[in-house]
Formats: sequence, structure tokens, C-alpha cells
Amino acid sequence: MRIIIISFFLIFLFSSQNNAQDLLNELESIESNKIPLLPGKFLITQKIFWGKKGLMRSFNKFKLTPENRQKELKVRKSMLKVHQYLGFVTLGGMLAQGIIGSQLYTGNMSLRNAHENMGKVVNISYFSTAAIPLFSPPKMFKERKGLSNIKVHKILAVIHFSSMVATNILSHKIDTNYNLKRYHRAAAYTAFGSYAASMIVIKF
Amino acid sequence: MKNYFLIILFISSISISYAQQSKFEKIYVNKKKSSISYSMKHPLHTWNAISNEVSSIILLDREKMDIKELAVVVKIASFDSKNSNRDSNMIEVTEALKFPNVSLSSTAISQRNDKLIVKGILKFHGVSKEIIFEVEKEILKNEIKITGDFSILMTDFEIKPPTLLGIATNENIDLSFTVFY
Repeated sequence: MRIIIISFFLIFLFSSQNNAQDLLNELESIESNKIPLLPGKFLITQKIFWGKKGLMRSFNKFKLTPENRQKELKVRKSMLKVHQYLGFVTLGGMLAQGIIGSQLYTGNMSLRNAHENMGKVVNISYFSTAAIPLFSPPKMFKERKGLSNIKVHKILAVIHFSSMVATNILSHKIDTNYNLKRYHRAAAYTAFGSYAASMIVIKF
Repeated sequence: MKNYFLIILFISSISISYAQQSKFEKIYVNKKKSSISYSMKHPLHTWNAISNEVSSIILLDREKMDIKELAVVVKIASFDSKNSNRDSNMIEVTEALKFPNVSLSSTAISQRNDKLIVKGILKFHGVSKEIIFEVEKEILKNEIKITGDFSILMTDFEIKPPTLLGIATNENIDLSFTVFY
């Protein structure tokens, strides 16, 4: 008898006190838990590897599932960290190259080999840094509307990438046409300036 | 005799419970007008993200216009900080593909004039934790507006603060909300 009465009271207690949890259950049953695994729009270089039918999708470890995508985001984060650190190394190399280059322009030709070697180092470091986000797994969302620091970072990337290519082309042409050296210098300064700005803008 | 007593007890318990329930009205959120935002700090900058996809229900005592129960669910993916990289990073750090929602269910609500002290269970990143916060309630013409804010620590919910340029963000997440019912 006592057990029955206690049971009644417990049922009564639960039926009147558990409402918030019931409301929450109702909300969770209405809300869809599905999140699109890939953004609507992303880079073609990323699509080749990480698109719905990308090359990586043929490996079981990278089949497009929420669990794998969560791991992919971790891979992306690690790759972007390397992108950041390598970015600092490249900036340091560019600065050193600028100092050596300016010495050459004052007539100190003994530094020519150092300038060429440093050029190779900066190129390897720069293009490796640039390649990382191009081939990393894509982010979850397409670009948001309006201007953001990441958009400015990308616009500046187009400028420093073009300037880097121009600097390299002109460096080869200087051997046959010495008058091109001021354009080489201008391209190099543009590359350095826009590269440094693209790093600073991430701060905001 | 015993059986009669039990039946009467059962019916009266159900009736009291039903009477209590019918006194309260379930009111759904006005999604178009409601929003919840969070703010985070990094030594280099501070940012905010807003979600306009708040799902919520209150249980309202129509006679006293008191909120008796409250439940809220927000999708982590619905927060927009105007930077898709950052929002994507938040999906990664909060494991939102595994735990897509942040939810709150009240355990006790006490009224103090137009302010409510809400005690509830916040579930985030698969971890449930009791929180207490203050809410301002405004009874408008055809709706109820509640506003408030509270802070949580990422580490309380087993989330490692994200980093930028090797520097970790502050582990505080400041939340503020304006919800219409």
C-alpha cells in the first residue's frame, strides 16, 4: 500500500516538474540536426581533392560523413597553422632579400650569389605557404556577405602572388635587359608590402 | 475499500496535475525577431557572432503572466561572425558536427519584479552544466520580450580555446539574447 502511494506521488511529482525537459525534447524533435557537410561554393583546387567526388573521397578514411568531416576540419586547422608559421618564415626571408637586394643596387655585386640563393629560399617558402590553403580541406561555410579581414587577406594574396610571379620573371630578364631592374625592384616591393599587409589584416 | 481509496487518489492526482497544466500556456518563440549572440576575445581582437535561428518555448502562467518553464535550442552552425573561416573554426573546436546544438532547459525560475532568475541546465559540446542567470522580462502588447546575458567558460564544457597566430583566445564566451514570444 505504502509503495503504491509513494509511486503515485512520484508520478505526480515528475509529471508536474519535468516540463522544461519535455519542452526541450519537443524543440529538439522539431529542429533538424543536419548541417551541410560542404559549403555551397569553394575553390576548384580544393574541389579536386575534397569535393563530393574528390580524389580523397575514394579512401574510406575520407568518405563524406559527419565524423570524417569533423576530422577533416582538424586537418584543415593544422594545415592553416603551418600556413601561418611558414608565412612568418617567408616574411623574414623577404625582408632579408630586400636588404641584400638594396645592397646590390648600391653596387655591392659580391652579394649577387647570396641574392640568388635567398631568392630560391623565399620562392620555395612562399609558394609552399600559398599552396597549403589551396589544397586544404574546405571550410564549412561559403564566404559571408560584406567585407571581412579574410576577404581582404585574399584580395591582397592575389596582389602579392602576381607580384611574386612578376619579380621572378623580371629577375631572369635582367640578365639580357638591365633596364628592367627598377621594375624588378618595384614588383618585389609590391610583393613584400602586400604580403606583410595580408598578414597584418588577419589581426583585425 | 482499499481499492476505492486508491482509485480516488489516482483520479484526484491526475485532476490536480491536469488543472495545473491547463493553467499554463505553451508559447513558441517569434524566430523573426529573436536573436542570440556570443562574443569572444583574443589578445589581437574581439569578435561577435549572431544567430537568428533561436528555437524556444516557454510555459506561461496566463493569470500571473509568469514564465514557469523555459527551453531553448540554438544550432551552433547558425552563428554568423561575418567571417566564414572563423565560423568554420568554431564548428571544429566545438565539434558541432557531433554536437550540433546548444540547449538550455530551466530547472527553476523565480520572479523578482520584471526580472527573472533562471536556473537551468546548459548543454553544450555534449556536456551539461547548471547555470544561473538574470533575465529581464517585458510584457508588450501582444508578446513577451526577454533579454539577458551570461558568460560561460569553454573549459567547463571541455572545449579547448581556439588559437590565432599561436595565441589562444580567452576562455570566456559572453552570450546575450533578445527573445520574443
